Amino acid sequence: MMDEARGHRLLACLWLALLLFAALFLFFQRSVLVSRVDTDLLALLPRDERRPALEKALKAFSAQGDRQLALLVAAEDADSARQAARTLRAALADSGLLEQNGVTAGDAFSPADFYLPYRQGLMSAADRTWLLAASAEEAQKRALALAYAPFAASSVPWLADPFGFFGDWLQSLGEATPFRPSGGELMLERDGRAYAALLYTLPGSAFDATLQETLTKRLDAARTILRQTSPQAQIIRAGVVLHAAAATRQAQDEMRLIGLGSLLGALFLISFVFQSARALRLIALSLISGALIALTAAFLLFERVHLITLVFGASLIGVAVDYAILVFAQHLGSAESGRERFRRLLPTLGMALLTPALAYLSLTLTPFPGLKQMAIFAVCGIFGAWMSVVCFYPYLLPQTLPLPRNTRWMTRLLDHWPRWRGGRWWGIAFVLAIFICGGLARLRTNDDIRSLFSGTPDLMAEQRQASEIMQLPSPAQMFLLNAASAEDLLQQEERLIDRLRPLMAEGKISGFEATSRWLPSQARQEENRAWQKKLAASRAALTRELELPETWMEEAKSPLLTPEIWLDSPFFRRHAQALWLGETEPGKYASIVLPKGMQGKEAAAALSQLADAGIDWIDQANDISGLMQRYRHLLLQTLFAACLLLPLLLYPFFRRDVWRLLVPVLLAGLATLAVMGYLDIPVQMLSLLALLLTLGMGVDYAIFLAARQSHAHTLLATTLAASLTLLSFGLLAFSATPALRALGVTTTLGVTLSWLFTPVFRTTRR
Amino acid sequence: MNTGRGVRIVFPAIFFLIALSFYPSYAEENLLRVVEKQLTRSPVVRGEFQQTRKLARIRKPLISHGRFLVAENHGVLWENIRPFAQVTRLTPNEIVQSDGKETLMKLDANKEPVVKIINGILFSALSGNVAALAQIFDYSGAMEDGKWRLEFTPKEKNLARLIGVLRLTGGRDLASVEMESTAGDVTRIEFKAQTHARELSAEERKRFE
Repeated sequence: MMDEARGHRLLACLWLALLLFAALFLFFQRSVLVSRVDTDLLALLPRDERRPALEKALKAFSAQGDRQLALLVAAEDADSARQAARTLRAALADSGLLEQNGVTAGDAFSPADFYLPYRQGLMSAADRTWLLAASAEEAQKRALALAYAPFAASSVPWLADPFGFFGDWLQSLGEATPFRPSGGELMLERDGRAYAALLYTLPGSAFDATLQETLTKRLDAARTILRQTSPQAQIIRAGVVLHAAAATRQAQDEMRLIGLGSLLGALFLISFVFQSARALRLIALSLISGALIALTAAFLLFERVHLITLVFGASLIGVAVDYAILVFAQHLGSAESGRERFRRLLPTLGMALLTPALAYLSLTLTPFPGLKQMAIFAVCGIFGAWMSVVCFYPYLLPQTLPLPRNTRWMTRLLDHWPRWRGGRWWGIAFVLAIFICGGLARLRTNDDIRSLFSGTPDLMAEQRQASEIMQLPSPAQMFLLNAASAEDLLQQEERLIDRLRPLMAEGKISGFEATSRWLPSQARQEENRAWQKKLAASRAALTRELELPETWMEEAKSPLLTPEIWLDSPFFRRHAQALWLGETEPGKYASIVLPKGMQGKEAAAALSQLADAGIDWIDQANDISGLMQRYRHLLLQTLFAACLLLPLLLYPFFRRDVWRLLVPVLLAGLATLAVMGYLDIPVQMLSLLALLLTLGMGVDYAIFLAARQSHAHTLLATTLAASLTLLSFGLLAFSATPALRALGVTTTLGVTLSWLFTPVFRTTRR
Repeated sequence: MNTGRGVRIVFPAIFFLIALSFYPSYAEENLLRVVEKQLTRSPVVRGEFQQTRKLARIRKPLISHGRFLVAENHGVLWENIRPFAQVTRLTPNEIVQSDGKETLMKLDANKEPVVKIINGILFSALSGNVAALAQIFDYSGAMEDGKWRLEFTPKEKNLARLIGVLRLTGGRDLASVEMESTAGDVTRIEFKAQTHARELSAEERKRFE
């Protein structure tokens, strides 16, 4: 007995020390920790565990893309657009953004100048086709036509490019972007409006909350200036950082709303029910412990803690408070000493920790890194709250806690609660069964990842508009190519592009972006040169007819453009740095080919057919949606397994009464699904997760009720616990993040129904 | 002969530039207005041309003859007759070259925005719309006995890569257009037998479609 007490005291001291450590850690590290909060919603999404190399390459690619920011300035005419673009640039001058327009650099260094020495190996796809079929006479005619043409559309002297192949190839580079430098700006005219583009790279990660904030402020200020100087100009923005900033702002607001809402709600309810300042302090102690442990664990275990985890964590207040409430509810108006009563409550408390902890831990089975983090955060949070109850309450509980007058009716609530007695209850059960079956029949599923993360509608519309005008490729659909050398990789790209061209002709895609557009493989260059050998006769004829200098045939022999030369050029940085992943591992080269202007689902289907050895078609949204589906099935199995395991787990404690615990919880789960069916809310992986959580909480309520304690006070505790959970998750249901909303809605339904059903199956009072 | 013409153009130009420095904006604007007043501009101009191309490092000048047609709102038909038959059609949206039977070359303005700019310049030059040229070119020039000459240099570097200098001479009609590319190719076009009309004939209209 003495040993037990001493052991408990030691445990309490250790726990206190741990809490102090956590508090100090969080306090002194706070500025560092804030910078480790992640706001990238995509970081919550699963990585495909089956293709690690591919995931790595994709990550490198998206890291580049994430840092791009494009601002389009639209106006009635080119001059106003240019003027507005200059104003905007000046307003953003010292914002840390790095301009990537390359107009100034391009002035000194044109593609024609750079590529001229290598021109013989450079031919457009159309000219290659032409050359294969052309006769010597036709070739001669083509060269003469160019020589006599009143105006050349190319800046290359005729003699250097008599057949115009190089000029055509240069022109084909223009397909890469609809913008053309004009008046010092990148300009585009479309549908009678002029657009000037300002392209920027962020100085840091798009998911850095500090950067987001300063950037948003600067952009807003710049827009205000522009509105005054060029009121008719319109800005269209595109960039991951804008969405990330909006998401951060939203998450912060929600964290505040849910956190404050749950906390105030909890404090109010507790003060109302217990009317004891001491109870309030003690419950707060348990909650704070939970928060300290959860935050410390999250920051120690994870390099980056996601903001959504914190939002979700705020909703845990409603769960973590349950233990403290249970203890106080049992204590209300009881004559027995606090410590005695507490000792008898321990097994119940233990089980009540176990079931939700298991439910949360099952989240770690999912591939969602975000959910794993939430799960660990949640388990640590409730464990922290629970430990403080177990360690400190025996010392701190008041000897007695009088039952406040306005709480009395609550304790009598159970007397009036309907109870299962068989007989006509079977009729009600029958009606309920029909209701449930009807709802389940209507239930649909939706695994589309896009339904989980919808951006701000305005921003999305802007992004779509900008993508359309700028002909930006979709960042989530691409080919990833792998080869053993840079040359093999370029050849691989060319083979793929030759197969993309028919799709372009059919209008399924409008174009593509690829490194080999700028840097043809050595083999392709050699081939072009070899094919041009058949033009020797035409050249000789031209020499005679136009009295050309004899040396010109010799001069035409140009060197090959090698990757080394090209990777060192400004064109690489400007056009293909993101596409060319280069040597990702020793002896392994990777690059990305982006199709542009995809028309509908058929286009994606046709593109996916082009996948081959070393060519992966990646449709991230589809891939992730597929993964979501796989895990929805997995979770369904987990749910079934939990339903089978729970009776075995609980049987030793409750024996014949196990069904009284399980039936209400299962009914609540099924009824939740049925209601979702009637309300046309699709089931997806996250709703099943929420059901799993609900299962844990529902079993908790049942355990509280079944533990041979005074039912009256237990119902009070579960009512209080359920309403606090409802408050938290109910607030979550208002989240603008559909993923959190899905969790919120399902949990709210499930918890309400569990709370309603559980007392129905209670045992008679002994 | 070549140098002679060069001197003849360069000398007045220098003289004119000196004059310009004294009366900058007044003189410029005045010249442009006088030239515009002098030129007979009408919606449709037909005529004949002789084109002399001097390509960089090729001694033999390439001379060709033909007919042309410039029509407001339609574009330009450039019909080469000698040494071979070839038609170039410039419309706001494309440049198409054909040998009468098949299309030899086609540049689409939607795919290549530069086409739009080139077409605009050529159309302005051939139709004598000097005011339009003055928007994208710096210019200088002189006027004497009802004959004028104007020299245009691109304001923008990107355009300067294609066109080095553009020279126009004329009186009541456009007499010549000379283009000197940065690459060193020089094209000189002389016009004669110009006639003016208010509308295209039905047959001409068809050729623009």
